[in-house]
Amino acid sequence: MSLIQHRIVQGEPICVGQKEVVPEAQVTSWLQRRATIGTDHSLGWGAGMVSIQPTALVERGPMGARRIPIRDETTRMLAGLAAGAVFVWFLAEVAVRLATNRGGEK
Amino acid sequence: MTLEEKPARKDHIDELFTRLDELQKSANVNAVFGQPVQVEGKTVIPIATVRYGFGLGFGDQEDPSSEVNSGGGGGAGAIAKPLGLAEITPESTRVETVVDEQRVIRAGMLLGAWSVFWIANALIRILGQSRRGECCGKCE
Repeated sequence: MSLIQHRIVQGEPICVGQKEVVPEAQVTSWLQRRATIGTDHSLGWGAGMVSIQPTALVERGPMGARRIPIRDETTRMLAGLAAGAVFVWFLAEVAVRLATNRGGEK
Repeated sequence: MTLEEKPARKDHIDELFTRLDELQKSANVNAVFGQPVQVEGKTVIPIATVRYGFGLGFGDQEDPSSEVNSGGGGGAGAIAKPLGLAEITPESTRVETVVDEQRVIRAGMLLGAWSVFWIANALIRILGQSRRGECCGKCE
């Protein structure tokens, strides 16, 4: 059985003044397990991975409720750089194609 | 022989599966949000991301002399990375994220090298093409 689960979990509210703040996180987990029972042997194994990512702080007070997202700035910057790398490669390929076509027309 | 006739073996498997389920379900908010700390009238909560992996296994074999040989083992690993701080005051709540500058600088240097490689590669291909296109007049 292999199972990937996503669930949003919330923690205990933290009270500050008249408001309370509830931490919220996303839990992504994967689990794989196998078992074999034979006449003279048995074998079992299992493996899993869990990732816990904080997603937001939910603030509830007299003015109402609002959600303050928590962003992983490092991951966003690395994703931006990865997108930049793909763009540079794409631009270089387009430049070569354009130059080659222009050369062929002559 | 059926599963019911092997209660000990079935128990081992049940225990293994129960432990795996417990490890999977043990993930909660407390792993990524630290204990609130009071600093200069503010409530500060450290925030991190956490990833962990685990593996368990066992096996037993009954040899012809009816002796049972068995063994098992397991392992686990975890990574926690700081993400930022939450500052809560009665007036406001804000999240200050931290950037892993070393990782970003390393990735930026890699991007620089990547860009130089592809620009040089493109120039070589373009210039090589234009040189091949120049005719000396003797080839026809």
